Amino acid sequence: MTTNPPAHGGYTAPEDPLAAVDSWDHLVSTALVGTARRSVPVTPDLPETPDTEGATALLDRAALATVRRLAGYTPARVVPIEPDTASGPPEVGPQAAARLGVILADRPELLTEWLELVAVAGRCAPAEHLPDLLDRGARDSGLRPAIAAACGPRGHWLARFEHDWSYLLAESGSGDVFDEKTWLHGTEGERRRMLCALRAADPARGRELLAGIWDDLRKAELRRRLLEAMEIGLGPDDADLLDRALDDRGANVRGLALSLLTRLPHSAHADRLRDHVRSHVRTGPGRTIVLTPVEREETGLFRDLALVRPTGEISRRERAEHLWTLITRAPLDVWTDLFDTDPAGVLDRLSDDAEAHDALLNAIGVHEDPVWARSALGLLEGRVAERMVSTARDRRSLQLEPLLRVLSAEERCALAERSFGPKTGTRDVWSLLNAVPGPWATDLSHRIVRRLQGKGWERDHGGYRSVCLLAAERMPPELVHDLPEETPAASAVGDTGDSAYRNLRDTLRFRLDMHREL
Amino acid sequence: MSVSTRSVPLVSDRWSTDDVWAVAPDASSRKAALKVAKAASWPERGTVAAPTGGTSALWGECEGSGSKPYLAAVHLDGVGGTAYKCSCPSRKIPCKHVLGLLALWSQGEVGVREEKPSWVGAWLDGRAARRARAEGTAPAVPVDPAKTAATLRAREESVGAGLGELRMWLYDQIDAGLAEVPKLGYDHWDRMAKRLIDAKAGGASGLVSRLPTVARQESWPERVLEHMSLIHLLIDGYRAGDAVGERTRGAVRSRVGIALKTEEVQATGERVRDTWLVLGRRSVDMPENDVRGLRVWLRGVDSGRTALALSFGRADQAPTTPYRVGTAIDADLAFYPDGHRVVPTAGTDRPASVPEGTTISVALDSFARVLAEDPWREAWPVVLAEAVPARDDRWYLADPSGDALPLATDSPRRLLAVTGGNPSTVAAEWAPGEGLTPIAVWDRTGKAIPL
Repeated sequence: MTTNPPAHGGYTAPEDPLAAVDSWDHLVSTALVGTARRSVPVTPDLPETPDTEGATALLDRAALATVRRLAGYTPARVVPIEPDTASGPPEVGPQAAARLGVILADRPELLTEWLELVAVAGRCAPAEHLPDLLDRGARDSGLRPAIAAACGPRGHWLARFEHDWSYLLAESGSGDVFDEKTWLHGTEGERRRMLCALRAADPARGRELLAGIWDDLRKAELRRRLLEAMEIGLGPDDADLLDRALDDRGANVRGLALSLLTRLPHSAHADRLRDHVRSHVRTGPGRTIVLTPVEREETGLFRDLALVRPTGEISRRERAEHLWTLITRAPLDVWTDLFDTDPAGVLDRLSDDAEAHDALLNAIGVHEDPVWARSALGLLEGRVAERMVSTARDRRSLQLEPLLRVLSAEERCALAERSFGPKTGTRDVWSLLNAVPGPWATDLSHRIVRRLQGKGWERDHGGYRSVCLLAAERMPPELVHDLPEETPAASAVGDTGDSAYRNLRDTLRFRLDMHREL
Repeated sequence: MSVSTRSVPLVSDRWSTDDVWAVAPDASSRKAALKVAKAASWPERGTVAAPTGGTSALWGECEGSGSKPYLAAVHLDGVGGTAYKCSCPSRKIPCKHVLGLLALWSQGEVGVREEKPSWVGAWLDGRAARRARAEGTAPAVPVDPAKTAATLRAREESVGAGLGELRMWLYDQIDAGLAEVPKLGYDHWDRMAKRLIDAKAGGASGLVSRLPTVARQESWPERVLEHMSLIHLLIDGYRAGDAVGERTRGAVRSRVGIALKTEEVQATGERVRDTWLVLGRRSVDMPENDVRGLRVWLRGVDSGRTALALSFGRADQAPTTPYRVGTAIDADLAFYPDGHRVVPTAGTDRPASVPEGTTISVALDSFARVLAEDPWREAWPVVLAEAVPARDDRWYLADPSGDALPLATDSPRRLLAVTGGNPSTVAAEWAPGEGLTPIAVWDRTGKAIPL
């Protein structure tokens, strides 16, 4: 027999020249047949046993062999994995690490905030919690960018070991550096990361690399994921490649190309959209704006808007979708130029056509145009409060939020603060606040607390609770010191409200500690 | 018999969050506890300082949905380990209120209070009184030594008779051959197992009950023969009586099922005073018996002794242990006759440095030496220095010489995360049949992380 240990280790006979045979196999086969029918094998490699025949002898010898096998375990020889040698940002301190444990267990709604604070502080999440974090990201793609930014190089290194974590390999990390070899030969996720890194450093070179291989990329999903990298450092020079992608076979690729092109208002594509708008609007009675339907023959328009060209009769729903997309994607300046008026004027003249009006509000959010947003919110006419509350109440809060998002946090909080008072209905308060993204300014927060102390909650305990829940996540945590100890309107809101308010204070205190630790 | 009265004060510092969750009976308790672990739910709360500093107890009044608050308290430095109390109707121990209170405390949200409510004082006084009573009335010597000895002798004879039958039964199996074993019904094994229970040889009975499971494993002929030959060896060991070494005898007697009372071990067991490093812990649940177990491995800094502290709990109660991974505790431990198991004893613990590790080859040698005294031992702690994860068709842990042992776990996620594949000190349980189960790792700052 050879004296080399086996590649995978395990039980082996001792390296004794006398042990020509490992008796174990013989003992096992005899035991299978039974000592009544077969004699006990001779075991020269084992110490002698008192008996040489029968069950006693077999069990004696098997026991010797078993203990020898257990005690004589031979290690394997296996090449260690490539370690993580990258030096990343320092881990957060022990208190922040412990807090992450609590957040993972019970306050998942605060996880994004924690991760963002960590990234801003130039720290990274503690290594021991990385598996748990990567699991969260596997289930919730919304968390992935925040996880990628806070998990440090260790997280990116770790992600290769579990299939469910491979998404992270595609999320760009802060420390990524472009590497030609990985770009050419890496996995799809790694290639995407490399392209993202290159776009961050040298957008033109990144675009050239992608354009160079664009026609050879077989899988639509890969084309889409690589095209996403164009978002980083997006500029006017990128328009040609994106325009090319509008002819892609994959609908998702076309859709992505369109949304990136929408952000380039000086491209040839944008000019074509302006032309499409011009050919579909006219002035109706009473200076209203009237839109004409898109015809099946307008192939150029369908391509420019990444729409599927209808083959049969155009249904009402399709017609609405065509115009909606056109209004959403076309640069907003076409409207003011065309009708020689300001945004408010356009909105006003379009107000009879509810669908077109909604589409234009949607366009303001998509184009992130604050001037239009202010007009839409009625600021210029001094009707902001009324407009905001009515928009919120009309179940159009979905539109209110994108409009508010266009404005700076300061401006939108100031707007929101002016929009409700002690008399605003409880339901309106909630709808309005729901549309105001956090973090909330101090003045707005104070007004909310005063409103909680106000009237009307006795008929709307659920609303009180909902406002407390929003405030818990969006109010600045320092505000916990300004909150009254006693539950506002305690007698009106019952147990539901009382516990909601106490939860609000707890969450703010929790967040305050969280902010101080990072 | 005298229970040793400790003169060393038992002080407990604040627990970490991990320590708190380690005593949670199950995941749902933990979740429920987090919901009540909010300062606002505990308008009244405080800790009771121990006379020597540190914390002796912890109490709080939790406002729930009912009109009366739930009164929850934890006695941290009790003699028998941590004790919990709560006025809620939950059967779980500790309940969510107690866990929530502990969690708040671990976050620094519960401070010392000079005055304590009367119910806390009454409970703590009651515990102290019961302890004093137990010590005062505990008989210094067995009531009737002759009777006790006779009882033990009867037990030994009964076990001996049971093992004699087991021996004959085993011979019958081997004579007839094992080929049909996987097809045998549970009846076949249960009859023998029940007979051993009747003979008060519960341990041996458990070994027989495991045979059908062993017969379902891969390479079952080998596994069954191994298992049977070890049972055979155990019977021989029992018959050998005092002819075998003291530790072997202790191992044999505990494995056949002649258990020793904790008090006996405290009174007569070998004592080793040392600084004990807590290497790691592993849960060993036995759902078939509704029992949950916890193995905690300790290592004596000066003596080099390995100690195993076992704790058990009911299915709805997490086993508690006075030991926290990564700390060192000065204690005078009482050993069971097998030379490894100890009576868990609380003591002053403090953060410890990284334990000294060895190569894989040295670790395997230490296991072989243990097998020489106790060939039935199934798990043994090893501390590997500069260990790195390795992988081909499965995961391994390798040492700088290139030796590697297979891991029992699918993917050592936490170990990978903490070490990044860089050489680290790792404590693990070694079982030749299963592989290596990492139980703790020390990160590059020297912090112990339980796995």
